[in-house]
Amino acid sequence: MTANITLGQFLPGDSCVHRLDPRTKILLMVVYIVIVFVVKTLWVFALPSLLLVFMFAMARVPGSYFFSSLKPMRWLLLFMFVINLFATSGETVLLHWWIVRITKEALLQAVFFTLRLVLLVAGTSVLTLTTSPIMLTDGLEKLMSPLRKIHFPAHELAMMMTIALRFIPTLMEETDRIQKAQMARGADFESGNLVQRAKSMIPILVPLFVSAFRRADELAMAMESRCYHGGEGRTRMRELHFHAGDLVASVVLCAVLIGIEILERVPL
Amino acid sequence: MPISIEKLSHTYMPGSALAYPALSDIDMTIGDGEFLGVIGHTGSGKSTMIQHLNGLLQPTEGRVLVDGLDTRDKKLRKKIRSLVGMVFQYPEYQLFEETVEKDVSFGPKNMGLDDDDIHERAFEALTLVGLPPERFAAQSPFELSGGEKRRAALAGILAMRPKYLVLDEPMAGLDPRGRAEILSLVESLRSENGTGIVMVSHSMDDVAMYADRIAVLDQGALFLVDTPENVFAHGEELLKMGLDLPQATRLVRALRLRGMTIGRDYYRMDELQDALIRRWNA
Repeated sequence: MTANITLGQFLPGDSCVHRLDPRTKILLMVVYIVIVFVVKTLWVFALPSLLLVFMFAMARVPGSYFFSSLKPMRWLLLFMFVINLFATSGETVLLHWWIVRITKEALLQAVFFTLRLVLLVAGTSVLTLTTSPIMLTDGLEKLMSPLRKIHFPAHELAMMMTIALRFIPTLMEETDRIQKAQMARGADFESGNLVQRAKSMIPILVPLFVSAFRRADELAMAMESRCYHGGEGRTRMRELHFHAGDLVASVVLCAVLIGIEILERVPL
Repeated sequence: MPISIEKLSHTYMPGSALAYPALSDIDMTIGDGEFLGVIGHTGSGKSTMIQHLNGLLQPTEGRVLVDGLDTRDKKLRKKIRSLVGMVFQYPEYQLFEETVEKDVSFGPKNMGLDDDDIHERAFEALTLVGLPPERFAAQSPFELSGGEKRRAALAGILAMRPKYLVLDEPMAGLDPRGRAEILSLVESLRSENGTGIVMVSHSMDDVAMYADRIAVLDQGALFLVDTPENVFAHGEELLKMGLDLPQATRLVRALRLRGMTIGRDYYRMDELQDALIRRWNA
């Protein structure tokens, strides 16, 4: 049941997007979000849409991932579309039947907001699809490190994220094992009302917490015996370096941003 | 009535890209009061197989009958789980109650017994595993030592008075004394209560010593199920599977290499010892 759950949605690969520095990818994702938000006219969305297709192609991510990234959002997307469709006032009536009244303005507005959300979600998923969780935390740590001047614990935060990510599969396995052991003693997790079911989780949760604390203790001990003392002066196995690709990607995204600003000002 | 495994195959995550066949076409019977040893290299399917014996895993193909009860039938599962006690690796990690007695009572309670009966069974099981209830019943299971925790967890299974006891490496991580205690407890359950035992072990000496028959699993298939004598006669094949041989068998092989003629194969140290002493005296 819990076996073999891959973490996040990282797709291992060796495309030029995969090879980008994680810091570049995080920053460019911010630029991408800005791009999507500066679009004010529906047809200008053509530009970020092209950019999205280009990013998927460069990352060699199969098109099916475009849809699977939207899947968790499908109800929100539908809800947004419907709300905009009925709640926007307009002049040109397209359809009027009983209390349903759809105007051209409302339809355009609904498409506009839905498209914006689709582009946002699918675009940001490129980041998580092409960057492993470890690289992502490495990049975040580097980006946050200037904040250390104001005593922001950048390294500690990144280390905590790394450790948490590392232990998710381990704890899943552990849960599975404890659950089976209690089932072998006749525990029943499936029947009964809500209170009974919540109570039936105790024989799983108690051993799980005990073992999580034990693992945390052991890990702390192992880190200390290898002289871990926080981020100060620590060297890394993977040094992050900017390459030519990072510059190219930045130029492309900035060009799109400028392009949109120009198009928005062109009177049509 | 025995446990019969018929044409059992199991595939993890069938139908997906990650489908992984763990067991294929296993046929085997475990008799009443029999001690069956299960050996096999890591990943040979031992754990997968034993989890079928009480319906924790369902066969992808074939079936498993426990005293004639099919493990695929959801309604029979509770009954089957009280017939087949299952001790996982490191069972001490399943302890969760405030007191040892409450924890040991978890199984019997799930069987729907009345309080007096539960109390009696808990005390009986604790006595059996060598944790005198007067001293241990009211303690927190988390205050016990490692070996005591293991025995308390074992008592939690024994309190259900299972007809069969399945143990997955019950001695892992114990010192020699702890190992001997668990082994003799398991053996006495078999000889005194007639409990059928299925024990997965990496120690060839332990299975050679106690098992009536040994099942050898290799890459999800049943290579052989036979008496220890016949199983360890396949020394070469076992070594090729990455398995070990009992000390006595290795000694016989080493002595033969040095030109000593030994009439037959041995797999138990005590028997080999007697034979060598007789030979010395003759």
